[in-house]
Amino acid sequence: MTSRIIGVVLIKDNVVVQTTNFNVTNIIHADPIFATRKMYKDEADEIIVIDLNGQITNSSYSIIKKILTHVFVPVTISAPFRSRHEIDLMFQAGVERLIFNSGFWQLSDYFSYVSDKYGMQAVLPVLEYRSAMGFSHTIYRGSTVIHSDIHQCKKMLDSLRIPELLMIPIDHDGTFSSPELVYSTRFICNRYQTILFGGISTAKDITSVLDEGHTSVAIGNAFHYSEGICTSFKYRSCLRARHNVRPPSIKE
Amino acid sequence: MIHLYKGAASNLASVCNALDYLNLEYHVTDFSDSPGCQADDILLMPGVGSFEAAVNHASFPHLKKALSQGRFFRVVGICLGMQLCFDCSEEAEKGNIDGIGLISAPVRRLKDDENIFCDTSVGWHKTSMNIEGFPEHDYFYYVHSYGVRCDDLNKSVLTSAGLCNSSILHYNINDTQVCAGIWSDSLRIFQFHPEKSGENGLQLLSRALER
Repeated sequence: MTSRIIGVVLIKDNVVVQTTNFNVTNIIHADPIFATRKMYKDEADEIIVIDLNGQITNSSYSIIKKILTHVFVPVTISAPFRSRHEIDLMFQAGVERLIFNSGFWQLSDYFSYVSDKYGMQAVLPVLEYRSAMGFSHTIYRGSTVIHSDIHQCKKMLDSLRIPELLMIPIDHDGTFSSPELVYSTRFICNRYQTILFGGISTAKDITSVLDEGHTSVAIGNAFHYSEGICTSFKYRSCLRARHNVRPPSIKE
Repeated sequence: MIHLYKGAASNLASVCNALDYLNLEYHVTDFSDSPGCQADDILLMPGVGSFEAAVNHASFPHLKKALSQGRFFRVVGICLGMQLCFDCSEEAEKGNIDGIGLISAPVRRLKDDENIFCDTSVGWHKTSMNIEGFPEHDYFYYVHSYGVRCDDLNKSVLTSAGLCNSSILHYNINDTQVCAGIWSDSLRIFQFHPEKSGENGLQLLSRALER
């Protein structure tokens, strides 16, 4: 199994945005399809699309469908689903898996619907946490604390038999301040794989996340701003000396 | 013409997107209306989902009938589409369930009693292959809980399926070789998803569908 470098695109009102600590701070690109296609060309192993709109609209669904016609790696979607029909539409369009935010793993009927119908590999739970508060993590955009006990939280995750967990330290989101490697590493285990997202700005940051034992690393802004520095042929070749990552498919 | 089989839950949209991108003509069918086939037609069977659901789907008898009439120049299968080509699968509530039976080998659960396999194999794996024009090893994207072991594909199995000159693709889970695909003139099947495996996957899919 290889470690993956995953590109993340955040979309609000049909444009690609940057968030800082889960607040939208900047418009990065007017065309989400172009931005996603660029990530694919920059050798992202997988792409996560996070829809920050309050609901799935015809235009946001249309954007997701178009993205799927332009990228040929697995695409994971985070969106505010309100019905099983909306979920089915995503899978029918070719989405690989859906993200479930903190607190919705067991509470949501949709979680079991997706895992029963499409398999456990079709769900990606997220742990959104704020390390500045000790160890508590919050529901979607950091508004409500739902757990403060790391052991209780981990026990709940263990019981789900998930293949993978996405970890997002809210305080590092969009800051380019380096990845959070204190609390996130406590979740590294052999029951599921972990993906760390947030704070990554350099190729060195990617290496450090994988060095600490996370299986994969997710990158948002650095993918948009760094002109392929994180995933270039040269960098991937260097990274392969230390970690089992996919070699670049586009030869230079 | 490429006949793209529409069965139970499948990755039809992903495969359609890839075929569109590759500028390949195809038509989606469940074979219920017995489409007119030409000698150089190709059957493409995509698939995500359970073996049992696929076999119990209303279109499966039509698919078997179309195959038994020997109308296709080549069969191409992806993931579950590959597994359906085999004799039977353990992915059923009550024991084994029969597949199409082009190859006399079973599809087994990856996780066995000895725990030498994993529960579900998800992600990119280094895959060994021997296909002209392609590297000996490449990386492809897999999602599966059931698969075919290379041990089950001995010479007599391949010969009886008319595949003695075929190339077996494989990858390793721990120390066990898992069949990643079979490549011959008449049968090109993959356990991985070439349509989700980047440019290299698309190249392989394009080649698999070349006449």
